[in-house]
Amino acid sequence: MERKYVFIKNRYKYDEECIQFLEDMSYDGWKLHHIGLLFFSFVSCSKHLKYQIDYTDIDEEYNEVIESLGYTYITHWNFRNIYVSENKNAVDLQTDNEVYKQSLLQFYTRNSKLCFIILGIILLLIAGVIAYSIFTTPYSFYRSFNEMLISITIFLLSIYFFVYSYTIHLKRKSIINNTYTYNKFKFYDMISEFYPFITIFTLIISSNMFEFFMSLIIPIILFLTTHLQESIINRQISKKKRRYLKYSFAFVFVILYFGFIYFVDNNQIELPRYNNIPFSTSYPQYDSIYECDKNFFSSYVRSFGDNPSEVNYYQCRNKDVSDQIFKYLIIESEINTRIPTEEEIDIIVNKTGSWSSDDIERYSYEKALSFYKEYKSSYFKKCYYIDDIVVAMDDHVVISIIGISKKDFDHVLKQYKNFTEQNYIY
Amino acid sequence: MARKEFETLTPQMFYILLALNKPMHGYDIMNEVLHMSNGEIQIGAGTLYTLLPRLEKELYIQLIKEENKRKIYQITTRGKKKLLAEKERMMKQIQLLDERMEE
Repeated sequence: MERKYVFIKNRYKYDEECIQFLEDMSYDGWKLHHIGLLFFSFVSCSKHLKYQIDYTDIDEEYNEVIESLGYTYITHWNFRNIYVSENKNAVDLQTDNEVYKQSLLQFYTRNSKLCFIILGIILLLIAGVIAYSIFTTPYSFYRSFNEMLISITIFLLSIYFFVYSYTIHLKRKSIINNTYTYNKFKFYDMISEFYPFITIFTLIISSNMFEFFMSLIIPIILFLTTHLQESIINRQISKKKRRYLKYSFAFVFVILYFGFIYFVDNNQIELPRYNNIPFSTSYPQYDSIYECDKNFFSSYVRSFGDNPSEVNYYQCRNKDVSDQIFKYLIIESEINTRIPTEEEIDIIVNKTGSWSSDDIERYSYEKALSFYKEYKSSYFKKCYYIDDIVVAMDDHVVISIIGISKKDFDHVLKQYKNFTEQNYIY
Repeated sequence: MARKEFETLTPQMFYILLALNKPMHGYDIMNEVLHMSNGEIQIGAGTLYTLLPRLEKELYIQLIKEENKRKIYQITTRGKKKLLAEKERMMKQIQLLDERMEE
């Protein structure tokens, strides 16, 4: 049997437009088969058909009556039941405009209008608090940028909810005054169509890569559940129980979803990226490298090791950062091995009144490196040592080890190489 | 200003209440209304089966029994009063019409 798919436009969510479209399709030789997430699915049919959209709950009695009037149930879509009849003169299912208006009004209640206003206010406050924190907290540039984007997005969402609430108000008014049409609301509906994009945008900017991919689970589950609902609940399970099952299904889904989030948050579920090796973190005091910089734009650094004072181990998201950390470790390790001259100490004391090793002048990277000796390691691309300190780098991994003799370099570096291969996080 | 549901009865509501002077189920109501109105008023199944629970909720009709999975309803005293109030309203309209047409 020949099939045809037509993209679901927003206008088809209006009963008149939908019926007109379906009947036009029947004149072109197509009969509605089912409605998916994005497409109407049609099968070829030579008859001219009459379609009806109805909001009445289906039970066995109603189903019998409908069938005796010559209608066949096709599907439940967008809170409505769609019926088809081969008899163009079959009695309409909705014959009282007042009753029909009440059916439409149940989707645009005063309570829902109020809920969206409250939600909008709450989001507006959250956006304000985040925006305020940008100016009052000494975040790094990337963190500020990230926070600003989140604030703007939440602000846009709050505006969306206010517009949506206003749309409900206008739609209620139009339904009551019999002026409820697609053309009147296409602008407002277009705004509501943007909502998913705003949400996805929020997810992207407020997540790091891993969280972003995890967040894709939500639309995937939604997609699957919609199709399960379509294929199992609407078509295969008896129509009488449909509503009950639909709600049960939604309930189970919500419980599973929040349960999953809860267990992941509490580390009850071990995600594949993590492992059982305990790690501690330490961050170099280097400009523009911060723990919180873990979004797309930044350079997150994580270090492993039980004793960070002796071993500094970093895995970096990009090579520029690992280069920077390597340079930093070269400079810092050099200063740890250098004994300042008395003149140097006098200059510091004259300037600050006292002296500490932190006040000693740091050399440039090139100058600091000139005090090091190179070591040809088969495990790390770059490897330098000074006294009992070795600093090594291999693309995205940087390591410095204090208190190690030259004969142990290869042995220890090999261990860290293996550790990296087993625990690479980016 | 939105009209409250059942503040005034539409012809469909009126005929449904009238038909339920005798106990009957949905499909019979549709046929009875068609018969009573000499084919002028036809009630759609969607309209009827949406209205029945609402009329029941407002206590204008009551569920008498269920036979072969069909619900049988009958008008209540409150429903009859509603019909009489509707009659009064229509009479006033007719009286007003007569007075104005005579002028």
